[in-house]
Amino acid sequence: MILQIAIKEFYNNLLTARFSIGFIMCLFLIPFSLVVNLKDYREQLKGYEIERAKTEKSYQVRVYSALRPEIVRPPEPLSIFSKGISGNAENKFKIRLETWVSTADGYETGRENPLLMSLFSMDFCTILVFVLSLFALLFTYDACSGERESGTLKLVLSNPVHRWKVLIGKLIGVCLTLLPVIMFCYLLSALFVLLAPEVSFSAGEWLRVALLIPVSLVFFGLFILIGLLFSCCFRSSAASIVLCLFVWVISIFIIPNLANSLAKSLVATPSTEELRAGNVLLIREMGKKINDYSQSIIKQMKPDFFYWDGKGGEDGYMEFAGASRSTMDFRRQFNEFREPLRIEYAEKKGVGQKEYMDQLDAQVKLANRLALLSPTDVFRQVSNALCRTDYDTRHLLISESLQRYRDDFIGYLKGKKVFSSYEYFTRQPPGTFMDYDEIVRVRSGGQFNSAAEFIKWRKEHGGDRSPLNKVPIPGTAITDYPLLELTDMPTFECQSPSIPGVLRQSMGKIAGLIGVELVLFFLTFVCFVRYDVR
Amino acid sequence: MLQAIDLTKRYEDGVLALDFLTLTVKEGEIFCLLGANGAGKTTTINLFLNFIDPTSGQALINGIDVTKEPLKAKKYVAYVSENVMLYGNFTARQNLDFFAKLGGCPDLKKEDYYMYMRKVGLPERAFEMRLKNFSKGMRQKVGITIAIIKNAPNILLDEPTSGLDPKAAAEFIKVLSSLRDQGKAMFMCTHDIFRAKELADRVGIMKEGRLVMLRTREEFLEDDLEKVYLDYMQEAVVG
Repeated sequence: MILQIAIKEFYNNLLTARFSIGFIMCLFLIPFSLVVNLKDYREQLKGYEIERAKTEKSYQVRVYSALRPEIVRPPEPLSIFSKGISGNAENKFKIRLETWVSTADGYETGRENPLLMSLFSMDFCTILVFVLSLFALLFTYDACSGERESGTLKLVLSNPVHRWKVLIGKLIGVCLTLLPVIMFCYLLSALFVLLAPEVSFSAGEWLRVALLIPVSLVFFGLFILIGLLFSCCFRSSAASIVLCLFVWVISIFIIPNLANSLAKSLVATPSTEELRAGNVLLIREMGKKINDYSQSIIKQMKPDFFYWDGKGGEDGYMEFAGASRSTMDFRRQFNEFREPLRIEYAEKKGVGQKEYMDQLDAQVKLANRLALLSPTDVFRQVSNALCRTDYDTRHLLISESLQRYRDDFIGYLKGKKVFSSYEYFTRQPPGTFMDYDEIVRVRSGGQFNSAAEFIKWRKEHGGDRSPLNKVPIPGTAITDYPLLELTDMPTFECQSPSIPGVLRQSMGKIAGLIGVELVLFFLTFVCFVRYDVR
Repeated sequence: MLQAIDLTKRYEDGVLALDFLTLTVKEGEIFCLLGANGAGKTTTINLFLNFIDPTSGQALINGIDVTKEPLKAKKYVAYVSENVMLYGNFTARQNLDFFAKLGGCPDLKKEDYYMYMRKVGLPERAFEMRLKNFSKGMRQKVGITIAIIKNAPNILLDEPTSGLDPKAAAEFIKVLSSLRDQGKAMFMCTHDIFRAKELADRVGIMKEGRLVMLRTREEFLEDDLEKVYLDYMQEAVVG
């Protein structure tokens, strides 16, 4: 009997105009979203290749002080299915001794929280949510009330059939109607992915896409039950559809939007100006310490600061060749003090940044928790997690992978004792270091016997340095030395939540949806058993 | 056989829709219940179909109390409504197939449905036509075919000729007569005095939930049924 009713419902639904319209909508919107997102992915991939080529150059250095690893995260291929926050946050990160890794460059200066979910990225899952949830409601809002209005329910129940069987039959019938549509959407998307030459999914990625299917079914089951419940609560289909649409709008537009706004209001984040002001104080404090130390060792070591070839920057980079021994010794001792201090102050700055990040984190978590009131957002959160475009994946990247890599990088430098080594700023072997006097004597071909003589002559001749070009000293140009061999340098490994991890994390949300579905089914059952068919 | 014993229904809002109705419709008998809108005719049918619970009294179908054993009782009754809508996207045959299976006749074949449809006078071209393209008269014929296929000994008809043109109504009446000849007990609520006069074995007039008049065929053929009905209705208005 249940089967008869289910088949009737299925067949009847297939023959309706709403099915044809819905199916055509899917046929149009799903390829549209896939084409747009594939194009987007292709562009991201192109950008990634350019950035990756640039970052490779960041490892082509001669001294350790020039080493500034840059990490570019490849675009997430699964973002074709569910974009999540992948479109909001940047994917290029620089590892610096003086900076605690917080997030990508472009974000530290922004006021808005880019980790909050964007509402309308028209990806596959969003289209699915929009169209098929509406589809589910449109097939159920009049399942009982419509049949009551047309009189067929009375005719059906004039037969020896249990009401619960009619209800189950209707439920199965609607599920049978929606199931092929959902499967069609997934197969179509899989076909698009397979035909796109630039996208290649691993087995794990296909598994993640496959896991989206049961999650979608649970999600649409909820909307089916909402429609059925309203259909059994009201005698008129008009009242039922109005309420269904109201719930749909609340679920899709209002709750996620409200959750973001409420989270922003309830969890205040310090302004980036405040954060920057705090950092400026720390930078001044650090600068003073460095300056004091520098003055003290200048007094003690009396370096002449002579170098033949050199480069440097405020970010700790310095590279010398052909410098006097006293200059080299001063630089080595100076770096031995300065670089650990910069790391220490990076940690101190990091406290403020971490607080800021924690506030953003709290904001996102609150917004996500509030948004769980909407089944649409539950689906969105789970699909984003499966597609690695959710907040947790991002958080894992920033808080763990990048932070750990920075620690590994610092550990690598410390392990090599490069801060107290000449190699930090020069490739010239210490055995070839010469005194200033000796350099002047050799380079001037004996024109000057001491640096003092040369300095005096230079003052009289308007700073002319040309006498030192007479006799070149080999190995005193930066470019005389090869690039550093960095094969032992730690490599960056990006962690992302594993499939079992995502399932464990999402299980509560899915169980919540199923729980709500059971409650809705029970209410629908009670309403239908008591439904006045007259 | 259909029996109402002191059947009473008072709705939650206090309206007394049916007041101690007692009647019996025997095999091979057509009982027509006349009455104004709101007199309690449809309430009686709803009580027989267990769509509502009686406040007191009993509705029996073949001796089975519909409140106590509704599913068992429904095996012995078929129902034809005022406006048979059925499933518009299905053909006549598909509608019959669905309701036949619900009514406990799962083994009928296409030809069997065609035969039943021929019997009630549906044109051949309509057999595989979608019901949404049917006229009301044709839909009513499909409705009565559903009742015929169920082969229940009792049939409840709620204003079945309402809105039908004279030809369609006459054809419909003919079908009902043949069902009576097969021994079906039929309880028909109607406003259509002329059809009642033409068809009924007994006629009852209902006013404000009470059966105020009961006449056998011989009795109402002697009286002018229309005048009797109008007199009762007039009393209702005056009263």
